[in-house]
Amino acid sequence: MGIFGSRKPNPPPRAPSSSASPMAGPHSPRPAPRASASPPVIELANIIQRFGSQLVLRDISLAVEEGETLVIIGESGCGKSVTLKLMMALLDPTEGRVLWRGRPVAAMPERQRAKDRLGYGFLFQGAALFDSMSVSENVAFGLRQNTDLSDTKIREIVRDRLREVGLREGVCDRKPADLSGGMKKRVALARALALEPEVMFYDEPTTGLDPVMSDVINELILRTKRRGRVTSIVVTHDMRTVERVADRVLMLCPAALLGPEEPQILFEGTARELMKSTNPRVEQFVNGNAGERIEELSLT
Amino acid sequence: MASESQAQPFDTPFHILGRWVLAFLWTVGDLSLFTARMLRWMMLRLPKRAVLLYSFYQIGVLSVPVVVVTGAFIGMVLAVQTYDQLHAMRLDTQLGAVINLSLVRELGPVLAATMLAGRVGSAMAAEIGTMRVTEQIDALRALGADPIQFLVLPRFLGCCLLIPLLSALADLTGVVSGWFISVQIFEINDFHYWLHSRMTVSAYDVYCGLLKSMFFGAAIAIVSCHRGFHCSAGAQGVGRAATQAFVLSFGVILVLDFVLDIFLNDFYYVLWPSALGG
Repeated sequence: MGIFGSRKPNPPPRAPSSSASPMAGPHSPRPAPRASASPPVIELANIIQRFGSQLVLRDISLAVEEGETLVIIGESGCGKSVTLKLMMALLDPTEGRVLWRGRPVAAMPERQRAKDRLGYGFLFQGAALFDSMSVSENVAFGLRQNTDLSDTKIREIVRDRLREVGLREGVCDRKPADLSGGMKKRVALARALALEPEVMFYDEPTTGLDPVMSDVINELILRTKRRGRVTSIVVTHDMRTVERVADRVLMLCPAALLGPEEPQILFEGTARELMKSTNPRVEQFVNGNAGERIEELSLT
Repeated sequence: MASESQAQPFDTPFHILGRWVLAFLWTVGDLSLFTARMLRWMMLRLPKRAVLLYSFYQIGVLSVPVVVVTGAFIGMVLAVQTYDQLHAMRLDTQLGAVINLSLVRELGPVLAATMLAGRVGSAMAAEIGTMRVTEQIDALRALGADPIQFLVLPRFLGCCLLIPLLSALADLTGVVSGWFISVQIFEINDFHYWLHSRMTVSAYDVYCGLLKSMFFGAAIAIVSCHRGFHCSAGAQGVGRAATQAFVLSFGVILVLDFVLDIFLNDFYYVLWPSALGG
């Protein structure tokens, strides 16, 4: 068996609490491919985000369509992770609107928001595994919290999800502190996938990993996308990830470096177009070339 | 880009005081909303048994040694400190009354709560703070769990229910250690020691002590969890949250002790008006 194991089609467990939601809960059937008239899966409209006096996002508008993989790139501090958290309503925007399938999130009661959020999986930058729980408890957490599945069924799902990300049953009883960085990321992915999300968010999935493990994670992102046309939004600095997984790329510029009328989204297009871009800032990022930014750094 | 940050033009003592007052009011308001959200969850859905048991074990069972040692030393210190004065007035046998009343009404609950604010409160703030910094709280929300219901409510229930029991344990060990020093070391008459204790310490005093510890427990849980939720990034942020949790909890315990003593003393005379004398 390869590192990813063999994929068995899992009978999706039912989550009664979320089945009524149009966002389709964790185990609801996959929706049919989107008709052109249906609203985007996620839409940000004129988002402004401040933390105290610090402006992070300045008038950002974007939409994510069903089944696509959107990769958001940009240098550190440009608001990529904040954008991701806004999309999942883990943060409330200072101004502007977040829409889930055309419905404004701000107008939803918190319980509805929490219920709809179950259709979304999130791979956090540092994995964010619960320290006090074992690997299997981490992966089972969402299922125990939101479904009435039996322990036997949950154990079976946990085993299958771990196998899908290339981890053996032996890791089940280990604590997150005993795992390597790559294993943590894979356990976190298994945890996010346990609820069979329709949309996956990846916050810097390959950061801190060696090139081989980065490639493993990229492959897992592709496989996750293929299983039931999962819509994916990936935040990364890693150009290998961009090349391998992106359907569409969006590059953000730190708000602090923008002129008064400059848009914060520097580039939007395919990975191929990104590589050919003549925008100096985009070129610098793609080629990993600091250029005159070295002088900016010495000024500060 | 136009910088969004604004220099603060007003730095007179008056403005600094104003900002301090606003920050204080904001914290009190936020703490009230935090408590209201937790109480709402208490009405809607209690945490699962496994989560409750984990919290109860952390708060209750692991605190037993600290509380036993604290209670024992309070009793012994009270005996040693009070003996000389009472002996000089030939009131040695009143020692039991003084030790046991001080213990069950005041020192047992307050000092046990103080120790627990250090052991349990700081640990809660550090644990929740670390979870916040490492995005585990966001992960909880992403997985359909409410952090207040999952993290705060079990700790609140654990503190409210177990800190009175731990205070009772501190009282018990204090009473035994006070008796040991008084009767076995200072050779006070055993019968009169207990007779004066029984005449002075009423069930109302014991209930008051336990009721106060319940409030102290609630304060420790709310203040400490709130500090954890507002922890800033980094090891320094977590350390600061743990320190603030202890200092603020201790302050709230002292204020609550004062307010509850006034209320419970008045309430005593409402229950037994004849005790006013005259």
